[in-house]
Amino acid sequence: MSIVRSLYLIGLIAAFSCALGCSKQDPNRGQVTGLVEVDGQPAAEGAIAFTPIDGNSAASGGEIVNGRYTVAANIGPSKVAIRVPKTVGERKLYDTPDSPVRPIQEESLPSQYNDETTLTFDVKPGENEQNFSLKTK
Amino acid sequence: MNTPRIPLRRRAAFTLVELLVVIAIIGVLVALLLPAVQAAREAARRSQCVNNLKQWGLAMQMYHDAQGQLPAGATPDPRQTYVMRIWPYIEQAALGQRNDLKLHFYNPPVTIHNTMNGLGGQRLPMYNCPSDFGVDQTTGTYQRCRGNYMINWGNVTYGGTGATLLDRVQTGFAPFSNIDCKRETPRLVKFSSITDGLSNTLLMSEYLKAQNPDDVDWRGDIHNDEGVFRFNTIDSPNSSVADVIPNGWFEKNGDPQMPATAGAFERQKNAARSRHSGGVNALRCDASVAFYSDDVTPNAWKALGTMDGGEVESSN
Repeated sequence: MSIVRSLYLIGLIAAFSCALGCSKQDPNRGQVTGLVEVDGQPAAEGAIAFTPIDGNSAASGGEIVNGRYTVAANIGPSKVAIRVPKTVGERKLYDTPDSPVRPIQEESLPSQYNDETTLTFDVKPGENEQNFSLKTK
Repeated sequence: MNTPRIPLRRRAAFTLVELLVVIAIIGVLVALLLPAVQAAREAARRSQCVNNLKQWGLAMQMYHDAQGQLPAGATPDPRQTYVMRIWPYIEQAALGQRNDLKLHFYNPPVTIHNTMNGLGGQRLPMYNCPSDFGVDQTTGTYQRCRGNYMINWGNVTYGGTGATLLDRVQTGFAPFSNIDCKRETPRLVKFSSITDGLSNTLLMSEYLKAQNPDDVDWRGDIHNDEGVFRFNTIDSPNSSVADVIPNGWFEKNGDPQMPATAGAFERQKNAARSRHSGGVNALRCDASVAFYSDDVTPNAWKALGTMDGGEVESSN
């Protein structure tokens, strides 16, 4: 039946145009991927941020999982801030004997890698790859 | 012999194709209408949120009229925040009278253990942005309401004496901060010292509440001087850069709009965040409310965060 077939066709066209629209990429951003190592080991978890030095376009951040990160960052020279927490102990939620216990995490990296970072990277359009090998001391 | 044909009376009915076409047309119409309805609902929620911020703004103005200065953002001894000080000015005189500004928030009367009966457990509509689906702390020993509206802590991280003047492209402080970053000495600000102009300085904005009813995630714990009761202008609104929150005080919830990482107590920072698409509502010191886009120029956003930075940057 031609009506059913034309409906089917309309559906196909709609799905196709949606897929086209969604795949459009922001020309002002480049994708940065890479590996973050702390003292030679991939960082289990953490956060990375690229902050354009000019202060006119927004900073972009991403999560570090098993050492890998992917960030869609604004292009241009950027400061890079990396935070990698480490577990240093446990704490009780409440001051009662039956209180549940939670791990305490602290920043493992010195501030030269995050709050007063000296790391920089020039984000180019398209795909970028940058690995970071950091030391806790 | 041919028997005379008895004409079959055709029953009036729709064919399958006709029905399918009608259903398809209705489907297309609903599909067209649904986003519009959702957008209208979100617009209504956003204007409710603007209204809430406006109420906070008027309350802060009245507090300033009565006391000659803005309330302290937070005090460590006794541990309290601006929320308790604002109660008498948001028509919650009963809460204000029953509160004791000399007692810690985590004990009665603000927190009555294992119940929501404390003053901090009283749900006030103006605490909450209707677009956010975070929850109150309703389990465990310490039960309290969370809130979405945070005071402006500017470009300085929160915490102890080690707090740094992070990314200081602007000099100057926010209307809420601590002198020398010491929590013992909150800066008490008069409108006369907001030299950038009341309409060029943010007073409050939005943040997203934790989604865990336990006392393990302090995002939105506005009664708690160590909870996340303030926002920074260090990062742009709804930034993908992770907030820095001491561990044990937040739990990763996998929500891409709430990125966070564990950090040192004196390095805490958090961007303004909301569920409104594309930006956040923010209250300025003159009690006007504006919607700031995620794409606001970072330097202009930092300039809005300070009250005496002397910047000339426009936020548009």
